[in-house]
Amino acid sequence: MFSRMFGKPKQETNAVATLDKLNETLEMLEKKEKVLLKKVAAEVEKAKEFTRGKNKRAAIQCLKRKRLYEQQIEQLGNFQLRIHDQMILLEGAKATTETVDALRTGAAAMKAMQKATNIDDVDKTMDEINEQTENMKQIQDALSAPIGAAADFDEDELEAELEELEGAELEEQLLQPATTAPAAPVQVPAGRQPTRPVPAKRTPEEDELAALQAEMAL
Amino acid sequence: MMLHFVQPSKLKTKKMVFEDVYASCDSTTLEHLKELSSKRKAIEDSINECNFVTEAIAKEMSGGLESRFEQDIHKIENYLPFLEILIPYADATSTINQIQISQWNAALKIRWSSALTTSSFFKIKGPKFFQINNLRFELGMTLFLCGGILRERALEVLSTDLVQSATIFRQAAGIYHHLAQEVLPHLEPELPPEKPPEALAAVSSIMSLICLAEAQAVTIRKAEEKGTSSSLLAKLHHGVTLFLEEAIGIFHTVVTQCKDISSRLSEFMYFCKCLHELKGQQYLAESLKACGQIGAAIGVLSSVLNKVKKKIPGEDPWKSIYQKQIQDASEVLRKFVHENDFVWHEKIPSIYELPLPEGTKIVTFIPYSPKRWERQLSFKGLV
Repeated sequence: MFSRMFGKPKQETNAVATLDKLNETLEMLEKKEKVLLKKVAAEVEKAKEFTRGKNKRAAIQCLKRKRLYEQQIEQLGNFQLRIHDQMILLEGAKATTETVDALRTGAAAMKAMQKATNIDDVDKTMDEINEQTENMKQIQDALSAPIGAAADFDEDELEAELEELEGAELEEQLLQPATTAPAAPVQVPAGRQPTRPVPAKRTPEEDELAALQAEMAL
Repeated sequence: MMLHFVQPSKLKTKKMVFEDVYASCDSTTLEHLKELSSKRKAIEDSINECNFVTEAIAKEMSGGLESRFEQDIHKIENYLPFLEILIPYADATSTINQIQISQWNAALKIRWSSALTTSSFFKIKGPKFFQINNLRFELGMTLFLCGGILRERALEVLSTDLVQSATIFRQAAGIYHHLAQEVLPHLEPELPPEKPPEALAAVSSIMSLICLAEAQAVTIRKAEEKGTSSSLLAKLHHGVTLFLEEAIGIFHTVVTQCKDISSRLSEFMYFCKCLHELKGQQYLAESLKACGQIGAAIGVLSSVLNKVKKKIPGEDPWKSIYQKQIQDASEVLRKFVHENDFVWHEKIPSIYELPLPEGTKIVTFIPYSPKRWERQLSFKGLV
């Protein structure tokens, strides 16, 4: 009777394997994001070069590509967010499952005690179980909250936060001391130039090989 | 990772009694011959598995050595100095002495089985014994056996002491090198058409190279424990393949001289070479990936996997070891391909554009110096 109410819990092995797979995909997304960020930086540099060369049209083309890459980055960010959501859900589901298991244990214990109790105690027990059920529903509702919160960030607040960050950075730049002019180069007399060549250093691999040979008594 | 080829330690021999054949002039010589026969009998009983001594007694007799292999090596090392004293008499210059010594050696009946012929693997009627009436044959086969048992001893200590294991492999390589350079060349002109492969100098050269390959494989295991860089590990693994390729090359010339030689030896070298080539290319691929060349890494792994899958060992334990390595490399390749499809989108170069493997040999054999007791022997019938 109670088994049918709560259903069978998911196998832990599946949850762990799924979390590993989600983590793996998350790593891939992060790598891809880094690659795209490098491309964005490269386009910005190219745009600057074209601007210095008075080639406005080419510079605008670079900025357009930059925007395209940034759109891809934003999409990847959303993907990562969704994976994080699902990972949190999975972990929450595990907590829910453990809660249900605990409740089942309690219900089984109550069922065993039922044999030694009268009908009034049974009614009291059912009331308690109903109360526990209501609590569980509230927990599940609370666990579902991140989806709504994540999907409904206040854009105005985010923009305000961004402006604050930009303002802080600008203020920090203003506090930096002015760069001093580079010192004039000092001429070294030709006769005093060092004639001995710098001894060549061994490569890290050669050091590794020498250490291995020493350790193996070769 | 290391395949096991036990045959070189599986020689068998027949009883020899020196004092019944060689005519002694004095009691010193007679005592020497008796001791020589006694020490040889200890070896005979051990390798023919006719030993009725319990393990505890065997340990006590050998002065506390636990390992059966170590005990056998101890017996051989006790026997060789006595045998070496007789070798100069085999090089008698006068015709009369040559005739006399030939008669004695014929009466000795020096007989050894071969572990490297095709028939020795099927064991239809028990081992076939080769009789060659030359003391160098006795010396050669004893040294070959010693090298084989040293290899087994090296494998025995592999799990506990990598340095000792590599050192023993190098000692075995030195013995085989000594055989190939100093002992067997003098014997080959006198070999009959029907001869064991072990009596050929080229086979000892092969065994020496195999021991060096195995010593380097043990060294690689230490390098992997230390967390050595992928690029160096790749070179070390390819160094092993260089040793084995050289040995395989010699084997092809041996086959023309000795058609009876078993293909098992050739297969052992081939599959070991493939395993180390696979492992070396896997490390090379990881090194390339770390340098941002995942396309080349995928090309390298795909190429070597296609190569090693062409031929698979037919039976365990070689087969399962081999397939495990292929499975591991395939998993690495799958991950690389997946990551390239998802992130990098790099082009995979053709087989002709792939970087060539570079091998480094870092092990050498430990030279073997034969010991010989300083003792003057005197025989009747020799001038």
